[in-house]
Amino acid sequence: MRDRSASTFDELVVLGAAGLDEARCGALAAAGPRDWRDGGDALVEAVAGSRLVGALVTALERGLVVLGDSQLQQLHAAHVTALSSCLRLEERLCDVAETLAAGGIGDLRVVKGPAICHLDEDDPSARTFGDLDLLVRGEDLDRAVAVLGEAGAVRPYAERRAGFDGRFAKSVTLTYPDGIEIDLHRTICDGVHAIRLPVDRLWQSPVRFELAGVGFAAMDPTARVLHAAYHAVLGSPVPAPMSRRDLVGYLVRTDHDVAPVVAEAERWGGVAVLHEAVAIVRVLPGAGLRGWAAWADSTEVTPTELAIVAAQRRDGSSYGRSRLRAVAEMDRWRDRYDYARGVLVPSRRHLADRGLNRWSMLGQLVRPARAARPDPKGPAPRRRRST
Amino acid sequence: MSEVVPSGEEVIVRVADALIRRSGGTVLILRRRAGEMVRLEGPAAAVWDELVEPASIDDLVEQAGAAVPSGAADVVGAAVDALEAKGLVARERSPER
Repeated sequence: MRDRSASTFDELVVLGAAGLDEARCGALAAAGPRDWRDGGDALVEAVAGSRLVGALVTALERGLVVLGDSQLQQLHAAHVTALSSCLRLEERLCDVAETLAAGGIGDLRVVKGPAICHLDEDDPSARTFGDLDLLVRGEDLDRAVAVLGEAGAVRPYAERRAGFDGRFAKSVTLTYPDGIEIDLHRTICDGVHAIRLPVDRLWQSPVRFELAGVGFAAMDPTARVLHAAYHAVLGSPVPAPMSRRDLVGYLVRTDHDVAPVVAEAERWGGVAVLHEAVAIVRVLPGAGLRGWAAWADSTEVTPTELAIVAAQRRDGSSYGRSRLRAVAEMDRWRDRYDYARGVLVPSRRHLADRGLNRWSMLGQLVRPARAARPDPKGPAPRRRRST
Repeated sequence: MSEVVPSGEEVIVRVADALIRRSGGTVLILRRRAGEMVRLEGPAAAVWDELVEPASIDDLVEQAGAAVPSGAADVVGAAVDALEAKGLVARERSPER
């Protein structure tokens, strides 16, 4: 099941992606529905653990997959459980928005889970999520953390340095006593690309939606496409199945006109990120991107940019060496100093909260560099294939 | 459907503070601060789906007619009563035009 699950998941992130049109579904169905009854019990269990339960339900409803009766029941139970959790999260999102508004922070953007569900899915039940993410203006971030702290949310780690979060952090995670997590984002990525990305752009042209009578705003469609790309490419060394599934949906829906997204990526200094995102989707069976493939084939990405993406990807959300590359992107010496100090010399309280001290932190910074160094006796590091 | 409801007629409306999801024939509804999650299936779920726009009982019975050839009025009436008892719908007068 282990080997099979990898290829099955590859298929599933395409079959269950949002926004597949009739023609694409027809092409995917041409070979007949995938019969996954053999090993289906383990598949449903794995899918539930990867938050792809909605994707599998979507693929079944499109007639692209076949499961046995008991597996369908198992899937239905898992889907109901996941959806119940989403409703609890959305209820908390409404509470959080009202709490922040009462604290003077009324301008927010919902990012990821609920925004994707209600703006980018044919049916919000097709996409489940496990936490909440809100974009808050940098100047409001400390106050937002304090306001939600008064409402019972706890941040596990103290700030790296006073004022660091509002100027440099990607996000601050808060946890409620019932286990619900909310990430308060200043921006959508870390490191070099966080410095390049014009954060004000994330606030322009908001798209409105409502939950239980409460009004919310999300980023505009182009920013949402790029956010999915940045999250899949830079968020972790290996993109989660859900991240890939979101990315497939966004790229499929924009495949007929890639220019606006490409132009935005250029303004964000993120062409290499977008290029890598397209590469992630192109290798998936049946994704069938034409517009994006043509763009990727005609776009050169420099080795320096590839190295930046690779280093950032390797570090994921941790503060590894790739974060220091961001210093070179900063115009002001004051910013360089404050950022580097926050990364290299966080407060003792921050370190203690994370079970670290100065020496173990130093090791954390050095380890990725050693891991990345090629073995002189071994094969040359894999070069990016020409696309 | 709301266009065909005569003004002043009683209509059934969903409450505004409901969060909703669907899995197959199951509808999950959570009203804010209600605490309890409601799970609807069968006629109650079907009536809830029809109420995406406010509708009169007659409209609902007409919609149900194809699926429930005999006794549709009783089935719909019981479903609406059940939804009302759970606090998910309310009876209102459609606006005067």
